[in-house]
Amino acid sequence: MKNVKQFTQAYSQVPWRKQVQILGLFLLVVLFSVMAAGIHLNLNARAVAYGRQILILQEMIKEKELERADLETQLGIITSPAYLEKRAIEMGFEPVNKGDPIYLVVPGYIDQPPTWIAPPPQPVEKIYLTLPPDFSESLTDWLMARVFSFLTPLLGAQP
Amino acid sequence: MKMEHVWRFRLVGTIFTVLSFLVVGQLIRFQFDQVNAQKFDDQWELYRGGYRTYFPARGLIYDRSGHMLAGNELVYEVGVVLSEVKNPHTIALTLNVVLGLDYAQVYNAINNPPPNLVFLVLANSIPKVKVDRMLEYKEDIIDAYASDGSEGAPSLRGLDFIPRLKRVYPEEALASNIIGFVGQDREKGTAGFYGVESKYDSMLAGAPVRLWVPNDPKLVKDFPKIPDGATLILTIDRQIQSAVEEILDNAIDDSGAESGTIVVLEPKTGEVLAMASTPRIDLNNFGRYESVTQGSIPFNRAISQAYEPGSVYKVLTMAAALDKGVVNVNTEFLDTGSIEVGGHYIYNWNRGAWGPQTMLGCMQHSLNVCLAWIAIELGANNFYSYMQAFGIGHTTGIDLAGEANGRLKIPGDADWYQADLATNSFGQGVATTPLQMASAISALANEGKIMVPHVVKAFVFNGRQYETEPRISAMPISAQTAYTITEMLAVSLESEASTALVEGYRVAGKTGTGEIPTPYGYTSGETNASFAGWGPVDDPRFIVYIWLEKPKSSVWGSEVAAPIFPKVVDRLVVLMNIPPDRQRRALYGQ
Repeated sequence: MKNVKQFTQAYSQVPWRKQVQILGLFLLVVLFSVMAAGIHLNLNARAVAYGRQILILQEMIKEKELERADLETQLGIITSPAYLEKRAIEMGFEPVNKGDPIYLVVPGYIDQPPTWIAPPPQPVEKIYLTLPPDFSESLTDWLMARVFSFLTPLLGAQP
Repeated sequence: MKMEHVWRFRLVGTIFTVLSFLVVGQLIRFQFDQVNAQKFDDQWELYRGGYRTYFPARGLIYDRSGHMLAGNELVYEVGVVLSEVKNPHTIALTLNVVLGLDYAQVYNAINNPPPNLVFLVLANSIPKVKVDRMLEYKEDIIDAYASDGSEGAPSLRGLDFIPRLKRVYPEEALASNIIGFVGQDREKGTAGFYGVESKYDSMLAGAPVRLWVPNDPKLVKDFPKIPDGATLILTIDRQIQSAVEEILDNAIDDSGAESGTIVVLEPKTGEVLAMASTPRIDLNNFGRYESVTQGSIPFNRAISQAYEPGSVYKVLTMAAALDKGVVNVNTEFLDTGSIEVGGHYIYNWNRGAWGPQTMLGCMQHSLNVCLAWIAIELGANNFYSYMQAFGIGHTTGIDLAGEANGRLKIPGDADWYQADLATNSFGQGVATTPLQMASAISALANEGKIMVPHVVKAFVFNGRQYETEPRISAMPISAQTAYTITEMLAVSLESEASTALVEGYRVAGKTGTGEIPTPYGYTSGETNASFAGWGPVDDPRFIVYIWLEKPKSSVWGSEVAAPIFPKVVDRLVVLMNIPPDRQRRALYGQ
């Protein structure tokens, strides 16, 4: 106890020690500020980069959707009866005339089944957002989520 | 600190204080300066992002077998962002070489744009292949001249391509009267005209979505999926439609008719299998529409042009009388060659007297006098009630744009006279569309029931296909009456060895020759030639209605319209897999 008093007294009697203390505290604040700014800048830069990437991808999706529609039509054109009929005639086929076909009863055969471009209606499906929360949650949200995920097993299930 | 230096600190402090006040003052001023505040707001909004309207891809149209009748093609709007253009000469030259645009015109347009224009459109509906070629040029020029900073260095900077979908019809003019066409508007999206493109316009177009699109990457958010417009699957069979159109065109050429229409319905469901009419246009070149229709010709005569059908209408009068029990097949009528009704004399088509006739004979010889007598026996109230039940005088409810009502005068109307009862009985003084007639007569082929005619079999929306259900529109006569009159008409065709008979298949039908009225009466000498037929008689699968307007080779429906029927049926039985009657009975034990 006596030693501590001596040390405190000796320390308080030397002004440069006090200055070092203040300077140390100031540098500590600066260091934390720089660290926080660095982290913020880093996350912000990454968010902007990913955001930019998302914007580009969204434009690409739009373009691909247009291309898909175009390709669907191209497929329709090259499989159109007019085109296929022309090809069939070139290959030596002839149209069937009345009297040419031989009719048979085939058990289980369904004559001209209905056209199904898409499946029939079903119960409405829940639509989930495709963009993960990483792209929209704030740093606080992220921190809270982590804290809660860490605390939940410790606190037990909430009613 | 030396006191003599204090003033410096005070000066710096004063400057910063004044500057701070100026900044704060300016901020306060902006709050009250609405013009500038709005300007800054707008600028800020512009940097953040902006609202854009997204138009969904227009739904496709298929025939009943899944063959595409209408699709979407990727095309580009080619233009320049005026503020970015470096070398108009390179752009004009490129557009001249790739797109064949006039060099001078493009060059002048870029150099002298309208004031306040940001994007100048130079060409529209350019296919992807050509745009790809221009993009290659653009890259080549960048590679070659990137380091050349001189004023006149070649550059395609500013040249931009905006993609969009353009409606395309792979089958060109096929079924054009049914499909209709689509106009494109940059701001409003697509708009359908005529046919299913108009009737189902909002379904096909889908719901445009106005979204706020960020420019600021930090504000990026999930882009909602914009569902395409609904896809339609029609009841039309592409192959039947094609065959019927070809037969109709040949018939018009052979007969010299002014126009023609053939409607093929499935009587049990009301599905339209084919609906051919003239004129038709290549839907990919719909701009020609005005010159083809000359402003007065209906886009689809089958639903939009009412005419006096003539004797083919007699089947409805006879059906009504049989159903009401006024006559039966064996009722005899003494035809003296004329009958007086309401002060007017009605004559037969050959002005002859046919003597004693059964009802079968009346139909077989198409006797106007007999049918006028039947209508009088039936009474005006009953006659018109039946005609209304058959759907005459009002739309059938078909899902196509532009259907006409036709006209059925009824007692009580200012222009109805007693004589109308007689003339209406054989199809004069009454105006119907070909579809109305086909629909009305379909009751005879469907146990007395009329199904609502329709062209959409199913639609696909959000990845799910929804089928449309056939609906009964009316039941004007009993099933027994329908069988009786069908049998009468089948026997009628057989006993007169009609040109409408089809080898191997028993069919029923009736010809019609309607004189075309003028302001002075039936004096033109021109006719509407019609034929309505259905089969096979024991299990009707189709009803065919044929109308030729003003045929030249002969004025009689029995000579120009009836022979078309077997040609249509010959194709129908193959395409619909209908075996000849004898084989069908052997196969199915009928």
